[in-house]
Amino acid sequence: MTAPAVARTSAADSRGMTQKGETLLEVKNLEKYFPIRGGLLSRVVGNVKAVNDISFTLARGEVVGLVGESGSGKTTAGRAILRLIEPTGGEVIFNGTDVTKLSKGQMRDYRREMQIIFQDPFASLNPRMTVSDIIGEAMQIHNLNPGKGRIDRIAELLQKVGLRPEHMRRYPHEFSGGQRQRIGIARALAVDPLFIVADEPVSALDVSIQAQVVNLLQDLQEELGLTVLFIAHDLAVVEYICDRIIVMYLGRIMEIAPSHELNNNPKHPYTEALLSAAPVPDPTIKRQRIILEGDIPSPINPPSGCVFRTRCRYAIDDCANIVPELREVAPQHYKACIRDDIL
Amino acid sequence: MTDHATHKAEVLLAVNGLKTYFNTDDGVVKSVDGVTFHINKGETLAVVGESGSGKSVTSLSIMRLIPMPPGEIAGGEIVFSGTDGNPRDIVKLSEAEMRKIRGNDIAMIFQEPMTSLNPVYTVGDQIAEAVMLHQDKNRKDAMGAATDMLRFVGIPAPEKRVNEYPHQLSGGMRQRVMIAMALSCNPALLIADEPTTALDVTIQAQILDLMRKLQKDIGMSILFITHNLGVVAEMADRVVVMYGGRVVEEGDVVEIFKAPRHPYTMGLLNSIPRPGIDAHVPGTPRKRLEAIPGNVPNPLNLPPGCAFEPRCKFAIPDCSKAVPALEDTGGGHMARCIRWQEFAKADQGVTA
Repeated sequence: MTAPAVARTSAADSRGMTQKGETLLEVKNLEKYFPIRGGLLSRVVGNVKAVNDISFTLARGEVVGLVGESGSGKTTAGRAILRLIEPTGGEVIFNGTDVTKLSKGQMRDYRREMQIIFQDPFASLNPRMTVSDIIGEAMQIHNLNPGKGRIDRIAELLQKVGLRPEHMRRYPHEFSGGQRQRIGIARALAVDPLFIVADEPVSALDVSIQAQVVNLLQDLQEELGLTVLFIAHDLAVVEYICDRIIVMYLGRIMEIAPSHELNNNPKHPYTEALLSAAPVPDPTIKRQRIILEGDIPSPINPPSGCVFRTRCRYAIDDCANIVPELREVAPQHYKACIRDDIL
Repeated sequence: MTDHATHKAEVLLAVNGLKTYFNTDDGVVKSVDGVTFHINKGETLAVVGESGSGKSVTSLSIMRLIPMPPGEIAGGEIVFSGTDGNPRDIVKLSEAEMRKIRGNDIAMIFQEPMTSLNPVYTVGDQIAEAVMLHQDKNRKDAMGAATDMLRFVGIPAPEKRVNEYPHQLSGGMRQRVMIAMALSCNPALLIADEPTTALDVTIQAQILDLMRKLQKDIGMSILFITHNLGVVAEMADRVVVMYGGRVVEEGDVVEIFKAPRHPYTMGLLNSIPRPGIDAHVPGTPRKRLEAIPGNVPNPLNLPPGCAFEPRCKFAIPDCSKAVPALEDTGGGHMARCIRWQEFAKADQGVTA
């Protein structure tokens, strides 16, 4: 298993890649607004601000979690970074190039470096394609491993994700959910990417299967030195697998911190509530729970100032007037909250 | 929760040797194959299992909501003592008698509230329908009761919400409406089938909190079906673990989490990262989850002996010879594993 890893590093070097620890991806003021049309002339009457001015960086080889509830914009952010949906503003600087400025043709080359693993292993594999077609398609597009070498590479990838080479002639319906997710991972790895967005890759799986896929992702990340943006709503899994965590709420970033730091020492009231809401699988631990009142507000008309203030137990008058900026409150620890006298 | 005197409590519902089979083109699927457990008055029993374990089919059998054909209850009994303390076997009741129990004595809430609510009726109409059906109230009184129920489950401005349609409510609100509807007739037993799985964690916390409060107020029993062990630890007094259509372990919630006697339960507990405790610290070696290898078995083709044997790291040749019996390991803690005594000894060795 070490041989391909070494080969891969040299290949990466020949592509002029950065070294481990250097910034691989920089997201600057990224925005994705979905227009709402209405009236007789279908004019734009408003915007759903799904992702609203978010900025963060990913170092090469780092695994960063992006957590939030439904409507927080985490999935939209992941797709906008890959330009699977076009961002409406901001920059995505990947390995020194702003990919939002690239033409479609130029973008294709970058797609090779940036791959995605989807949540639903049932909807994300074409039922009419065999496993070898699914995994080989991207190689064909990028003209990798032509001829006999492609089949060998598919067999190697299948083994890498814990399946058998003879599985390549089968169709997706012949596999269980966990196995399909493995196929999805093999597909993402087929083009030797540097960066992977994993969008809730284990949420649709049974509990006993989740651990298999989490372990597999972890092994592959280490072996291949991948940079991963791990999008999830399950904080326990994110804390476990990620180096750092970004917490989103209503299209904005609330807090960024290393996993253990975020867990032990949350600085933002939303993170505090999110952590306390997660049920702990230990009946002898009784935690003081912060129950957030109400629901996440509509992203069409988010609250003024801090978007979280309507559910925040620490909110003061100023919270309605000031959009809090994300600022460093401890080494590597950022929060978007104007109050420093709490938490 | 731990001082709950299980053996002295009054049994509300007893499921004995329940077998629910489905006749399919490919053969008979034994979704529930000889399941036995009971729920005491006022307690919360969690039924834990993955897809295909038979947990949902068990709850639908109790409600007699199994489509027949292709389904059939091939054996066993479901004895419900009810509010009047008069035990009867649900399996043998006529449809008319069952209709009186369903929604009135036993109510159910489901995972996805949107598909369980009728989109063309207001939520008030839907709650009032159940009240009128079971409690002999006129429409005006029933709508009043519906408003009271919405207030009871913590919906703000219930006078306004009662006239709204399901699509006007958020996911958490809809689940509150489902709970209001389920509780509108003061059921003795609430069956909650993954009620928070589709909800966000902060909303899940709201709903679990609400269910606990309501249980305290009304004193109903809850059969809580879930795969989320965090929710189980939080809600349950006792736990039943199902695998391949059978109960593999049953016991007090603390016993199940602290001294599991079945390898499947142990595997489940080891396969999930614990929030806070298992957070990765940069610079330290990464921990590994103990995954259970393999897949959930095909219900059409269960292994001949213990259903978990092909995935079990403790399996020995004897495991595949016959289905192990569900044995009492002490104090009402039951396990279906021929090696449970060895696990008990190993546990004592650690604590001694």
